Amino acid sequence: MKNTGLKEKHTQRPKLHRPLFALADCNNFYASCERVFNPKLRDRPVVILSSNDGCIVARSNEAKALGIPMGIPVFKIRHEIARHRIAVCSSNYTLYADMSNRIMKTLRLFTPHIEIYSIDEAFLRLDSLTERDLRRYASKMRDTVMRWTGVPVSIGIAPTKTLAKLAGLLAKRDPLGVYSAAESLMHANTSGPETSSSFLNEIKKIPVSKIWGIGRRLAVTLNMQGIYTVYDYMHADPKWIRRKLTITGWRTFMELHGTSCLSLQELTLPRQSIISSQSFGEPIDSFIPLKEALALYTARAARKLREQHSTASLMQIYITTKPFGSAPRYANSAIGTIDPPSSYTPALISRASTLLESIYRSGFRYKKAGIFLTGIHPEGMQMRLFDRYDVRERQIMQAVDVLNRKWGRGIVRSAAEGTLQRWHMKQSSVSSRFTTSWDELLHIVL
Amino acid sequence: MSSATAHCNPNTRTKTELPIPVLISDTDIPPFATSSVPAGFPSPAEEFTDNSLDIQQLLVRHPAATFFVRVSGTSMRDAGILSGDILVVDRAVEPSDRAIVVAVIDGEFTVKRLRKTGKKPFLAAENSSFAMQTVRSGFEVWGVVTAVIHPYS
Repeated sequence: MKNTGLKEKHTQRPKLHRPLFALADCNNFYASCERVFNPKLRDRPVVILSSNDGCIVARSNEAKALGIPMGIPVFKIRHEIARHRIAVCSSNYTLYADMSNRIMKTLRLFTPHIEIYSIDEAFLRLDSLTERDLRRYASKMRDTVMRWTGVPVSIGIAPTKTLAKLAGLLAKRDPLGVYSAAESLMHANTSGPETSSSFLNEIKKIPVSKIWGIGRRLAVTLNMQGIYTVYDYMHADPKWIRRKLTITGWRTFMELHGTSCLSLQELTLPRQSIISSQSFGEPIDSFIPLKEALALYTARAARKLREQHSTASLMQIYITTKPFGSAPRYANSAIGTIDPPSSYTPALISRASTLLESIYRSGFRYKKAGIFLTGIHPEGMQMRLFDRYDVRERQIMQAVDVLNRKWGRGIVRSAAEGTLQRWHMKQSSVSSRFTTSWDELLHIVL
Repeated sequence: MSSATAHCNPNTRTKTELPIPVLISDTDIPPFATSSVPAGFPSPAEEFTDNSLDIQQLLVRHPAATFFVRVSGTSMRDAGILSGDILVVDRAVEPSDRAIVVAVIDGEFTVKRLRKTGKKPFLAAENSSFAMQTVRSGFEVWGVVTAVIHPYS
């Protein structure tokens, strides 16, 4: 008797019998990280510059409100910076990456089912929660991340990932930073989505370009069909969507209607291509420093390969001058195979150098170089019968990686990367690596 | 065409078509000899091995919420915080009365003892050679100091 009583009580609680996704999205992540260690930035607009101090890549809410666009070259807003006392920070990716890890670690305490989607976003599955507990749980999650790391996050909840993304947008406007589309959509089973309230009113105002997976170009196509908002997309002719937008567009359509098609990617799959490129602080007008810069980027790409236990079999390198301005312009790229596939830094650097020789022209001032590795295979896989996976090479690179991890990146590096590195990126106002370097800890005067 | 079938079907393979694997050693590294050959008596301690102590386990209770800071100055001398020390700061710990905290006042960091006895919490310095320094309002607790690392050099 007692048992059945308990059971009844349990089933009476309203449960959401479908997957429930939450998107946890950090608010103005880079600016928020800077503010954790520099509270003076809290009441000022903050912008973060690209890795070469060229363009704005992130903005605080205050900077957004001032109408400073994303991606604008910093020299174009010099006057605004002075007038509004905008704080300008170089990007400190070492700090942002560590803060991101802390945030993800904190979120993981709330559910083991988590997909780290980007440096500042994660999808979580919250299926087991009841409707009533959902909002409270999300608030708790948000408060904990804020208290533990100092970074504010917003949380959008919905039965599909695509809807959770939209709920996340609405959460940004919510004073408590949580928006759940789950309740309003839960009752859609019986009476169709039309009856569910506020969420559907909200998405009548959200432009179609804000839907996850719908790019700017596709949005233009949709606009031409009279589809302007998320709501319009949901009520477009399904046959037309299936035909014109293929399976991806169809999946989005289904997801918007509450049928989950995209699952949580809890395992991170090895990347199928690796890029390392950068603009130079100073333009390069001769071969040797260009080769050195490319060697550094190659070493970085090779390290990324080894981190995911892969080798690459195809390499593309490119060099380019400034794409605009009055100076003579030149850009070219070269592709070559890496045979046998490798992640051995010296082998990749020597291949990259040969490729560079084939496209280098003197008389130009180069602004940027980069390398692209693809044809990714798992480490140790034999491509042909007589390929010998070189144990010694692997041991050397393991030792180098260990030393660089322990003593700081670049403590052991290939001589091909040069020692002067005058072309190194310009970063005039980068904050300290507060969380990853003993020499750069936050300093407090008592 | 015939060689393709030979690869797929072991029954039809012929000696001439399939290359015979040969071990070619062109370096001084012996293949697959990375582990040592077991010999002698097993260690009597084998069953009892444990990890060496890790200072991180002792000092860091919440890794995601723990930060290190370096301090200079003497205002917390009596609490055992000296110039040049490294503090372990845990943001997950609830700041209770008498906790030593990292606080923010007017955008500046400081370290003081938090007091929550009266109506309003306040911060107090700890150095008997100074006049009692207190901050009564306009501060925010950033994290709780859980340990001091004092290097002798």
